[in-house]
Amino acid sequence: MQTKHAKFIITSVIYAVMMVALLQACAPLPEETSEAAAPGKSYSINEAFEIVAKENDVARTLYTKAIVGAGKKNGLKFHEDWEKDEMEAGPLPALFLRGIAGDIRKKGEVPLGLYLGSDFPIRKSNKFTGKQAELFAEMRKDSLPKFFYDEEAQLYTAMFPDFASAAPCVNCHNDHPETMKTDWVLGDIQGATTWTYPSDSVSFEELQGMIMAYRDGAAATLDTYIGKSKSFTEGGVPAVGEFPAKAGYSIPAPEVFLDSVNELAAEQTLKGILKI
Amino acid sequence: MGFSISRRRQRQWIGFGVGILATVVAWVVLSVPSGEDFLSKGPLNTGHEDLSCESCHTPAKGTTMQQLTANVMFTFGMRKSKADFGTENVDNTKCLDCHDRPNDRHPLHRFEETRFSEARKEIGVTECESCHNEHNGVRITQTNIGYCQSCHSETSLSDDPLEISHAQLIKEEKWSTCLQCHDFHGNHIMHVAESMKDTIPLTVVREYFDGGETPYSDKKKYKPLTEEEYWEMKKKKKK
Repeated sequence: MQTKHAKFIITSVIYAVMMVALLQACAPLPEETSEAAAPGKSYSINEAFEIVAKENDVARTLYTKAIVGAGKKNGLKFHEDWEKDEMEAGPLPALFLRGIAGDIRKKGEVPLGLYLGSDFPIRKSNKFTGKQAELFAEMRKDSLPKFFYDEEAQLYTAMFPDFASAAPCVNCHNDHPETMKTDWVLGDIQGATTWTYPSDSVSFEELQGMIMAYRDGAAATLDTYIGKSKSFTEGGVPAVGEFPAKAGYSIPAPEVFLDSVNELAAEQTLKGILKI
Repeated sequence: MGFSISRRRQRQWIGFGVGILATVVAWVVLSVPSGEDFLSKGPLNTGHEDLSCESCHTPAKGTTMQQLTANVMFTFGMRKSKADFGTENVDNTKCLDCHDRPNDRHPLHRFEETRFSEARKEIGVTECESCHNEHNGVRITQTNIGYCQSCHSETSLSDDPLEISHAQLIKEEKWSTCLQCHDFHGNHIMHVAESMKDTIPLTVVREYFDGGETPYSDKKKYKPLTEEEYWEMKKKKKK
């Protein structure tokens, strides 16, 4: 009888060990979503959009005024076809932004989308249609950001007004041969930046990722411009380091540009992060 | 004492043996690199002819049991995403590992914006395989050669170089003429025709779609990674 019990216990133990081993072997793969990595969602996606949009306002205005505006006065050129081999020029502000957007998506670490559009774009294919056109028409009246969920793409989406903040914005858009509108003035809403993200809230780490993806994109795009400038022959290779206002025929190094963005955006970004 | 089995049992053993043998032969044949043709669902597209299966069909993460368990859990709503089974899904990321270019005139991500929803429905412009469906032995599988109409219906140029304006071509719905001058991804280094008589004939564009020589230019600004360069890049990423 005892032998029978012993056999039963040994068999049970063996089965239990096998079950544990089987369960271990069958442990499913961990999910690779950002949600699984960061469970504490502290910010609504709209709050996060507001923060990166302010960063974008600062970086873009700085680029427009201190690089394009001041650079032109010091011999630098900027062109929509700046990437073409024969073109000795840097990116116009809209293309600088497009470079940032491309860098964010190429790295693929942060699922943040950034786009530019208008009701009077230079390129007709950048004209808003559908939902974006409707909301942009509202934005023209109230100058406020618009938030919505794109059902089809399953993306949380925000549109922020792009104000003509510097003379080069107005002059270039009024004088461009393909322009649809020639009476832009400073302060006009010239278009909107559209941001997308796949979830309705983000953790602090994810918000940090969004901000840094934007800043890294700006640094990478500036770096591409600097790389291209090495082949300039017409006006010579520009110096790299300081802003044109300080160093003349010069392009700021990415870290110099980001330091200025940091300085100019710090207060607003901190307020956004602290929700004050 | 002789060993004997019934005829029925004999037949069962023979059937079992033949099954085992066929499985072993199939496993050996399909495992060796020269057996890849049997596994492939069709000839590789133009430019990919010499690639090995593994360059795109990389092994999925985890063990087979882990992959199975994850997918069972997904089926019963116990996890949010499916897991790749056997090999990883061949998606845009795989294509862009070799083909990503800073000068791409139509990068995929740009079409994720809301306003391109119609274009996404019409030509699935956010997926490489919408136009380059692999295993078809051609270059481009998109059959609608006038796909530019999904986004460029309002194009007009103030200083139009053509004797017939872009706006007029669009008005006449001559959408197939776009590709007679412009390459979609913009990687060919070329001079664009300024007269309709100098444009690339539509038949030649179609031949190019089907895998023929490029009519745009032999010179490209960026070249895709070779398979060796791809593996080297993967190795570096792992480090």
